[in-house]
Amino acid sequence: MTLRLILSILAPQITAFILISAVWPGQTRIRSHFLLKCCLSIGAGLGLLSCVYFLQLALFGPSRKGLVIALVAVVIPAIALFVYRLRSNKDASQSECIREPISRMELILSVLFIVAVASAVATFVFLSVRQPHGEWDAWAVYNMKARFLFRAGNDWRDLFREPTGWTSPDYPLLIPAGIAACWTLMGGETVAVPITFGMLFTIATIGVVYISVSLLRGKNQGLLAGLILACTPFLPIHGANQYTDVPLGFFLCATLALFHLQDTLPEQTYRFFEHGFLVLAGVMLGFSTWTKNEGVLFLVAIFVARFVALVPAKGLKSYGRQLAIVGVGLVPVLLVVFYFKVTLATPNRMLFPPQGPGFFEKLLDTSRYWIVLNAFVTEGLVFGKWVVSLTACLLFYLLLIGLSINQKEVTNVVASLIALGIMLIGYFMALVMSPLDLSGHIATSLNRVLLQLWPSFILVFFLMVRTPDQALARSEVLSH
Amino acid sequence: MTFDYQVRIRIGICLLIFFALLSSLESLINAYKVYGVSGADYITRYEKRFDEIRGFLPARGIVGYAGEGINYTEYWKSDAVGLQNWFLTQYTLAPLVVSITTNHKLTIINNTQGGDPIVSENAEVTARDLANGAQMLDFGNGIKLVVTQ
Repeated sequence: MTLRLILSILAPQITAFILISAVWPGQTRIRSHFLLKCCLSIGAGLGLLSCVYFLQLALFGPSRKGLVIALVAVVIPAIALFVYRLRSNKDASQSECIREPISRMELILSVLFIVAVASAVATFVFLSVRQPHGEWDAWAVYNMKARFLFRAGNDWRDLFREPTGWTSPDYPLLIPAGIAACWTLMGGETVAVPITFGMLFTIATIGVVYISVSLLRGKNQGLLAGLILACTPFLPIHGANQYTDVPLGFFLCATLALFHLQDTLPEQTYRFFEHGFLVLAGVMLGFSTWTKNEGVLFLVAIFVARFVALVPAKGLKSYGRQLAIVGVGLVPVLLVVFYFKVTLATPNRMLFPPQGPGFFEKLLDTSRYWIVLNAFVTEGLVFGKWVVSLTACLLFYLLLIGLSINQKEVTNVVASLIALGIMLIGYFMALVMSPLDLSGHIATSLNRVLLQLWPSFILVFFLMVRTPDQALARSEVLSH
Repeated sequence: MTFDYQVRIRIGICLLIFFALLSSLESLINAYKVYGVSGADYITRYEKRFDEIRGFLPARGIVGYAGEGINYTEYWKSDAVGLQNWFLTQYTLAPLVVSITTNHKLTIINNTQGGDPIVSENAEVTARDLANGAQMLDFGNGIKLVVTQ
């Protein structure tokens, strides 16, 4: 069983790794940015598995053999593309990476980062042993749907026929379909699969933030960012709860990180592949829409934010060109989501509520705005489950260290901040317009939706603040 | 700027890291405190209540559900425990659709009677005839099945 579990999860991730390496800008070496590719492969691999499983199920019916054939059909072109890339730059000069000696600060931060990650993993493990089926939304919605998809055979569409609609049939299926796909490949159910999904997304989220910030602002800054994220108790707690907020948070921060990397990492120019990060950003963006409906809001936020930030700086043509390249990665996944929404999903209960006050009644009720605003402020101050206010600590740190945004990153930082702002406004209005009991809805959802944005916020925050090296060097200069 | 500025920077970084690690340690200790024996979690034990009734249910299709605390017309206003029992029943019996709508040939009644729903053993199944030719099977642990013609 353990070997089958490892193979069922590893196979799609290796496929994703090959695809990511194939479109990675610059030199195509397996070892180039290996850890970052691994972290991205975790989300991309599970997303790819989920999409292939759903399409195979919807078009051809349940079949373990069919799923294996479908996966092989994806692997072969991936390998072909990778081989083509290898051959197309075999004459390119291979730049030597000269590793600078490790400073004492880097050594200390590295040790503390490893301790933080180990603590997060241990917390995750203890909670998962205690609640192997996850928390409420996991067993009531996502894992329940996985059981339907796996157990129902040709009657899997019954999942969307429950008369009252409480099963949220409009929710996208990345996690349930991914879990069901692994069970299909393994030939049996096990709670180890959803637990492993939760663990992988938790670790990968920390990894993406740590490595991206390291590449963009230096190792010490990256270690600090990764440490703060790993030490946010909400992350391993909700990862172990098996909620989809952590996977969504992964796709959101991976999307933003790839946009930042596009403009900053040095690369050699190859036709098409020089924009590989944009293609991958499109893939991550697409998978965010396949994970939760909030991903659709994020899609809109990205398009609007990059329009506002990019057009004044680089012109409309540049924005259009970027969108087209992002679309190369985005459209295939969006087609799967579109097919699901058109053929199976019912109207969203939040947008088309069967109950509660009317639309204009909620829109014009100012008391709802005050309740939600108060909740946002209160939750913002206590967010994360730190022993002190995490938000206050970061604000204090910002005031002490100061801002320092690289010139090359200004446009992307502005775009990221606008995107996160749009997401916050979207969540705010979603709560104001909620058809459910407002206090209850806030109590059960606000900290989780903020967790979706948290890794992205940490990423952007540490791209904005001065690095410890810069701050200490600056203080030396000023003291002389 | 004087020597103090560099010290303040170092102290600020150290404080941030200190509170971060302290929070992580507190979370780890709390998680360890609730850590239990594998297989003894609430949901795994709850699912065992349905071991007997599975033999009387179809593999597919839709069955009715009735339970304490359920608001049948506006389910979102139901008692939290009642909702939890319904959703856990659905989770356990998937891919059978467990619906609180009426007029089903088979209807599951899930009644914990205010006590701990987890019982270590299922009692013998007893059958009782109801009006209109219906029959009720009692599994002895708060789970009943009503079979209508």
